Amino acid sequence: MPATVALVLACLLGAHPALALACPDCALARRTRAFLREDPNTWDHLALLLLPFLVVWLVAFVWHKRGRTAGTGKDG
Amino acid sequence: MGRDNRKDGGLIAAGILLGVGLGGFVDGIVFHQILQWHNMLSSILPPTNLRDMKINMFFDGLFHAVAWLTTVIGLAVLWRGIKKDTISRSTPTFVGAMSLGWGLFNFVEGLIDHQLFGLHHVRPGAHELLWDIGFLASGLLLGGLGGALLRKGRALSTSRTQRSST
Repeated sequence: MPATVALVLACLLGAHPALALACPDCALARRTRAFLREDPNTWDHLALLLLPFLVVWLVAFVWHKRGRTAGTGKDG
Repeated sequence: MGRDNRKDGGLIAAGILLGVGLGGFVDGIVFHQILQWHNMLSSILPPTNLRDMKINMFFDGLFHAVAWLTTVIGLAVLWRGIKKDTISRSTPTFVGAMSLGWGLFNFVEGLIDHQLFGLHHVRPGAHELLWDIGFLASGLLLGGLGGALLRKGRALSTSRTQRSST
């Protein structure tokens, strides 16, 4: 399961979103859905639940590191 | 740190995190609780009996817990930047970052949970794809609005910097 989560994350972060949108029928998505239906347990579902949050946390982290000089401060 | 050296990255990061958290609360309160749609595992365990309803409620609770944690982290980033005086204080940048965070989360959550994994849909039933597409579109709309406000905030900051240096 961690490998599946890591693969999905790499797919989403590394690929254009259009590829992920086209992904519902890819082998990875099918494997994940089958896994969830076969033997769901709390930790695996929690990992999947955290995936969208993880993506936006990473985006926020990247912004935090690369923000540019904003100038004089209060402007509105 | 001098005012001219303030970066907007901290403010944008805090705004994104707060937008994700507060957007998550809107999602949870409006969709999960009031309308009783969009439950976390509803495609796997449709909440049609008390047991499956309780399991869905548990995972909805985890969703809320992570949304709360994200809000707390956003507040911490904001407070740290204010205390150290390292972040700019731009309303369009902050509001834009919150809108971007909310939109980004709706889009990513829709992409992963609805389209890719099929864990749940916004409103399960006959027209679920339309509702899912609407949810993705709301993400793009909020994200676009956020991006426009961020650009406005940066343009305002740049023009003020130029004015203050002349």
